[in-house]
Amino acid sequence: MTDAANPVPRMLGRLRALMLRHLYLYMASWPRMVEVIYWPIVNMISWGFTSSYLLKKVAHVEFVSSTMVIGTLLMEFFIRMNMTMLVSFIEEIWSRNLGHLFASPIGLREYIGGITIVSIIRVLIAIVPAILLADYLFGYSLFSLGPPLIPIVILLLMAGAWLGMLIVAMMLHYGLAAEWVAWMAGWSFSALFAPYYAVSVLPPVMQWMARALPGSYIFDSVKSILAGEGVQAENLWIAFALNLFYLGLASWILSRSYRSARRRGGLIQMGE
Amino acid sequence: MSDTITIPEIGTPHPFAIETRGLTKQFDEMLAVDHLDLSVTAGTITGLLGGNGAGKTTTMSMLLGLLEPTDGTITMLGEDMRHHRTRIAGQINFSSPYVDLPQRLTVRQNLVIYGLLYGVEDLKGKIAALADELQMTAMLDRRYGSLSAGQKTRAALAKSLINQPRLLLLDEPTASLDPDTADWVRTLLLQYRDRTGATIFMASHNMVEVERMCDDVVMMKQGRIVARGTPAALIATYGRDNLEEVFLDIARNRSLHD
Repeated sequence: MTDAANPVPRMLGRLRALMLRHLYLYMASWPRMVEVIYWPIVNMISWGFTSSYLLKKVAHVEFVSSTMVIGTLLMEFFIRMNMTMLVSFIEEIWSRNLGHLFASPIGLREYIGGITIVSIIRVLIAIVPAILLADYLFGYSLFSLGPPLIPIVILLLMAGAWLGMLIVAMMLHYGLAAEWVAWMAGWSFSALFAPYYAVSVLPPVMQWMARALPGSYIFDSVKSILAGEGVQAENLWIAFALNLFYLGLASWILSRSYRSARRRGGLIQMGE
Repeated sequence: MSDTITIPEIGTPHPFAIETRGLTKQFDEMLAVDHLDLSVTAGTITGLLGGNGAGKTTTMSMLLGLLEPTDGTITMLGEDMRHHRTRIAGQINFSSPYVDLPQRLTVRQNLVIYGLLYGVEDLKGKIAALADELQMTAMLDRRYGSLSAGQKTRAALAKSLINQPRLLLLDEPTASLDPDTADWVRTLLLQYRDRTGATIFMASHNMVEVERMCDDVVMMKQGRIVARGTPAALIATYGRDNLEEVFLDIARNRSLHD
């Protein structure tokens, strides 16, 4: 049976294959599973205790404390999303499996779709324990954001996805030599997302950069909700539009980078 | 050897499984493949020979769609590779020492993943039949990374046969195998071709293997085809006793009457 005769089931089968590829990997390696949930919990706990300390020492600091813990949990959606996409791709380089994958009927769009789905599932698994612990240990519940939590999480996952695509594009172009840049990319953006402070505290150039990114608008809304001032829906719409723009840009860069790798032989001999 | 896989008679309406016209690959200053016109007749086993740097792996990579040609066209199973890569990819498969399978996954898990990627139906039954055929049932649930070189070759071969390819591309299929296992692999490939009518296109440095298996031999040097024919015809043309001597003649630039 040809692919053209049955395209949708075949495509779903290929997406299932990619998901199984990573599920099997995590099942075969318990340290990987520990790593998945370790960092979100560690980050949340360190900021949680900092918040508890501030609450005891400084009056009227409730807003700052909740912003720290809630902001940390939300930032994890963005950071873990792009990092998981990086890990999913880099696993194929480490195992010298890219040639097998891209000689199969899978296309670049399906591949990226597959690792995006895998990453979303992994992020949700990673963050749920940290969310529950934040509520149990410090009394801060992410669900206190109410229904806007859903679009906020979706927008952060979108932002993580386009950054993940840009990272994969960079790895395709530069190979493992770009690995160290790839690992720190998400953290570089976190300062500009302003999760714990107002964008206005940043230097002017960084303010301009922050306003070009969806994260600053998302966290403006979060801070507004936590301050009891409502959701600032217009900020979420701006973030959505910016995410769409960056997703389009990342897709374009990724397809160019993939083609460049095919020209240079990068899919067969990717390394330093 | 058991004969447990029931592979349908695929056949092909196209006289050539592979056709390239003016296929060229330039890496910066280096011309790796130079205007290659190659036709591989469907149902044959064709050997691709050449010294290191002759352009064999580059040619294979272009045929697999892993490397974009600088110029020229590739037609596989009657379809243009540039426009129908996905459709063609579902009907071909390959094995190469330059790529690997995920080490931490078991052989079975790898076969499930590649079976799904290639859209294989009745995957469970197919894996069981392949494991029986390749005498690897006992290692199906072992991690790929824990296997010996010979066992890895079997697993890679199982992956390359998972979709019953009409065209099988092999790069050094018996490299790093002991003579007994290598002979077993050759027999298996010959049986697969005889049973299915599939085309096998293989690069090899093992002249005995090529003499035994191949209907047709293509010799490459500096990105070009410099000799072509059946093993017997090439040996006769060069007045030598075996293909290895022919290979050395070509590699060392000896002319036919030296």
